[in-house]
Amino acid sequence: MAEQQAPQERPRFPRSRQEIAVAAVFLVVFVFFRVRLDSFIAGRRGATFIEPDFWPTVLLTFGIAVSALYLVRAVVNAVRDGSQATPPDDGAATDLLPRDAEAASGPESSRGNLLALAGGLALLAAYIFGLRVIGFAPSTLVFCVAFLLFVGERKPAVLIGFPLVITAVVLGVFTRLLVVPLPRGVGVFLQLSTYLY
Amino acid sequence: MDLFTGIGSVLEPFHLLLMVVGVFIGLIFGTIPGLSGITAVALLVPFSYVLGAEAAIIMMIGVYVAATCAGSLAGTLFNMPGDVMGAATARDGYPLTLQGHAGRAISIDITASAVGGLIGTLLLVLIAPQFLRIALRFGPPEFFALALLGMTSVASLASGSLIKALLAGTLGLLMATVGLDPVSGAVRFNFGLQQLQGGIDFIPAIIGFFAVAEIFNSLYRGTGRGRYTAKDIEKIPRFALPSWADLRRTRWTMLRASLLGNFIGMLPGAGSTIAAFLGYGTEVQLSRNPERFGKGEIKGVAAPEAANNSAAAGSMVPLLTLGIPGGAVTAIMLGVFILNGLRPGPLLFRDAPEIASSVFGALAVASVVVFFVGLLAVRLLLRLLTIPFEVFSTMVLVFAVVGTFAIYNRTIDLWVMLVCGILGFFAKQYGFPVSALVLGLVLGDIAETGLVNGIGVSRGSWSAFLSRPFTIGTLVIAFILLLLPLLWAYLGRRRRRADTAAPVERAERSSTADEQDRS
Repeated sequence: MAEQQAPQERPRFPRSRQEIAVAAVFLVVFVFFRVRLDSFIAGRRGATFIEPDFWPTVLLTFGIAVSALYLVRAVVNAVRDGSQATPPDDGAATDLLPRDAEAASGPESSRGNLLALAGGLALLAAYIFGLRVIGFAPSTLVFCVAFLLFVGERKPAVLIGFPLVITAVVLGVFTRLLVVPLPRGVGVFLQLSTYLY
Repeated sequence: MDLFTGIGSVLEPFHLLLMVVGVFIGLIFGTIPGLSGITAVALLVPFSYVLGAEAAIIMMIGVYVAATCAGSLAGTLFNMPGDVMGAATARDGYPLTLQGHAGRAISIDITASAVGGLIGTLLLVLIAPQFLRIALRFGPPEFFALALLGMTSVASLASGSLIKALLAGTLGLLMATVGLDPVSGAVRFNFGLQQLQGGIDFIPAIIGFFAVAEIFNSLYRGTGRGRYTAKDIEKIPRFALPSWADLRRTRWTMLRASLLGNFIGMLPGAGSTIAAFLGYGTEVQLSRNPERFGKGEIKGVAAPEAANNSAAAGSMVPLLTLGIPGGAVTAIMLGVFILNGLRPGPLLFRDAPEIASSVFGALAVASVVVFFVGLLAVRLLLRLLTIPFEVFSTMVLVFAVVGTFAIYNRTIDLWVMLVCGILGFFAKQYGFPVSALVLGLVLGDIAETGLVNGIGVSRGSWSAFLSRPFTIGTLVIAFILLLLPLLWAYLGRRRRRADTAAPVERAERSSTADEQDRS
């Protein structure tokens, strides 16, 4: 059988500190939106019994309370356990239910992993952006080749064949069978797309 | 609305073809770790435009039932479950494989899935009409109470931390407030983007939370590259029917787990994963030989499989009778109904009874199709585990993008999908249940409208929420569910304390006895 796990590196930031950071982010976000709530609501007021800010106020206030509790627990756990990776024991459902294996082991922060994630994210964002500009067919071809190379595919047959096949299949299914208008791009790409579908 | 009419409709050649295709897609997505029935059902949404509501729902039910069953196949054979609920089956399925009983494990796995699905369907047919009678009397306070029950049950029963589940649920509810306020028409949290006035649609969000986040997760952890070889798969029998002895041994287990799973499935927010683990846990508790579980007990394979498939049928009760989806798959189905001009709830049974019948029929037929196709195709399915991650991840991302865009032809949905993919990735990394996030997004509108209209009808008072027994009962259950994890944590601490105290006491007792012997 093939190997299942990549070699693990020692985390640069202990789990307990990461938990504190996550709790702090939640608290800051909820407080920010609660304080600036009025600026995020535009339109009619006083027309109904309940104002449009009522439900968001309830949710944000609840969110502030829970994230403050989370922060306190994370700090207490960090102080108590040092750098041990122990999630706060605030009522894990039951031993019968699965604890998230990934959560239990904690994220592995290594530079290589972060770069892989950031690269994948950037490629997907570029693909979405490219759909409007160069149209579906060219952007899908470029994305497929770029993503395959990025994740380590080096076989020429796969790098050439797979993007062509998947682009043709998607074009056929969505534009012919489902009659869904896919993005065509602008300028010369618009002409090319119009020719294709 | 009746089961036999539904079965008749599903057995029409075109519908049956779609069902079989759906079952294949579900088996494929369920088998591959990281992909799930949710992703498959979400990617099929654009097809509903062409197929129409009835055919699309039949196909989606095929996907849903098959994926629920297939999640455990790779878990049983390679200890690599396709989804979380498959981990419950793998606890005993994998030891059985190691003992050389892979065929037994797989045959009971698939049979229990089919039995669970059929019992679940029968219960659905019996319960849905009774539920419908109550549902007709529901007003805004009842809908608010049910939405709250869904949120608390997902927070209470989800794995991990209650605080994180509550935070995820709150974030989901806040995401649902983006766009036009359903009561006053004011625009909220659109950050100046006109495209966000319509709100965040939950189907692109679900594709982001599940499909995209899973690829990000594999990229970050580098876990997608290990695969099995064709040699490993050749060890598995081609078509293994369960033995009579195993069927006799597991018949009550299947029945018990199906009943429990169906009830769990009916709770908005609970779902198949929780049903699988509770089905397994209950069987351990009831067994005369609990020590056999985890070491290759065949009942440990039957229980979670029967429970999760029965839960899949149970989850249709709140969707069909109230229009309240209990989880991600039923939320997508709700979307398909709405896209086709239908609104699940009591009126669906009056305006489009054939759709409700088709849902019943599709669940029954899917269970049978999964039984035969699953047993026949198990080796073929497991060959999917040899497909390189590079190719599969690229294909999933392309289909995620096209599937999302094809629903409304809006670029904003693609950005929503991307952002939800990032959120889903971080949620997984830090143990926040994505199911709570999704349910918050799906139930947000129902909860807010119920709350605001409930206060409105009683002219600014909260009395509407405390005047009807159903509302009070639901709110009380929601409150109890919220307290339950704290009780479990307390009991767990007590048990751990007792476990650590016991060896010390024994050691003290033996040292006292030694001293007495010496003296």
